[in-house]
Amino acid sequence: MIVMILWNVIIAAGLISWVVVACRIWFRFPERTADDVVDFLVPVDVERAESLLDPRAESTLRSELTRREFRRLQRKRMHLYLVLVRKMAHNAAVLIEWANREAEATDGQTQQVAQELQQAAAEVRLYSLAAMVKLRFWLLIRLDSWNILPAPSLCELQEAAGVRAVESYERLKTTASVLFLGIGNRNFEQLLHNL
Amino acid sequence: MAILTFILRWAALPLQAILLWLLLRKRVFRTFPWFVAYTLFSVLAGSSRLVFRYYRGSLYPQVFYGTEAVYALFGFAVMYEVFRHVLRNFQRIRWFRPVFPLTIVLTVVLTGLRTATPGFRTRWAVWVLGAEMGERCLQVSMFVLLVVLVTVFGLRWRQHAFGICAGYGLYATVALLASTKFYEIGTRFTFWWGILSVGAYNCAILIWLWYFSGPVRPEPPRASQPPLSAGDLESYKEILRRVPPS
Repeated sequence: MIVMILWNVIIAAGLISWVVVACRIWFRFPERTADDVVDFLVPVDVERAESLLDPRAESTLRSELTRREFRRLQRKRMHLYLVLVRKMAHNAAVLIEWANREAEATDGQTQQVAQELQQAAAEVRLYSLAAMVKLRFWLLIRLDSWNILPAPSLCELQEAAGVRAVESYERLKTTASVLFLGIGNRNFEQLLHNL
Repeated sequence: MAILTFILRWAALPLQAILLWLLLRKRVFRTFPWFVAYTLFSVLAGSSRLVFRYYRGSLYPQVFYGTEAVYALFGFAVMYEVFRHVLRNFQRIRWFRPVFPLTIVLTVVLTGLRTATPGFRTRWAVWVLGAEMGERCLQVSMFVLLVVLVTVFGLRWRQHAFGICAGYGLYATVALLASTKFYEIGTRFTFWWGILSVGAYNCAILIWLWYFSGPVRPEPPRASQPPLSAGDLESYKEILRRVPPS
């Protein structure tokens, strides 16, 4: 019975994947060049993300607030971090599309930096996905309304799926900036501002 | 009708010959040697099947199952090649490496449980068909995995690894679906089972032709060390910090 179900799941997954591929081809963004990067990025407050993940700040809040107050505040902090992670994931998606195009460049150095950007962006996407799943689970079980389990700690999200949050995003920013400078784009300051 | 069936059944042969010519002309054997070897074998196997079917019919089943067994081996090798190619983007993520071996183990176990039929285990043809089913299962799993990677991580869908997997994915999904229906409905479904499988395989070759007809851009060898060292990144960061915000 279970084997039959698994077998049918594999066939269904194959068929659904074809629908996904068709949708991607239909809705895809045409060739993303360096000119199509800056306007599509959403600024991420990395310092804010760092402070949300800081274990010392969290333990201070834990000790200074009542249990009920802390749970409420922690829920708000989780929502805020979810917004930041979504922005990170969005920016990584935009940058990976651009890196995919630049990786086909004829210049060897540009190709290598573009490949580095591909890897950095893939890591940020992986982190974001894992962190979003975790955050949504925490929000789903509504930890602020019942006291059996301790409130989840945001510092646990410093690393997810083997990727460190702030470090990987900083690497993404730096690599994107290096590639942007490398291809001689003048809109560099705007890129930094929007990342 | 007989002519149409003949064309549909054997259309793959000239299509694969064109694909082989395209792959050799574009020197794809440098990046995907197993896929080129698979295509070469397909042309040879297809030709020998054609000859044996119409001139030495008594030997056709042996030729058919013999070539199917080699197809299954090539199929596993090509899937590994595709996975290794995709893995390059995830070198720094340690847990990504065992994904392929795990998928193989799961598909082999699943296929073993699905096709285990008491009394038939000693027949080599059943083993060949079992291996073939396992290969289809692996191909669908790899295709699903690549679609997830393309969707979640934004990998290029126009890359050759994805093209190879898309072709196999289409054929394997339809073949598994047709085989499952065949088990359920029985011999009444034989004609449609054949039409669906052969039609899907022809579509898969058309997908490969489309993917490999585009320009092949040589990818530089990936350095084992990232092009920007930790020191480089720090110095770049320092420069970036000095840029005044707009």
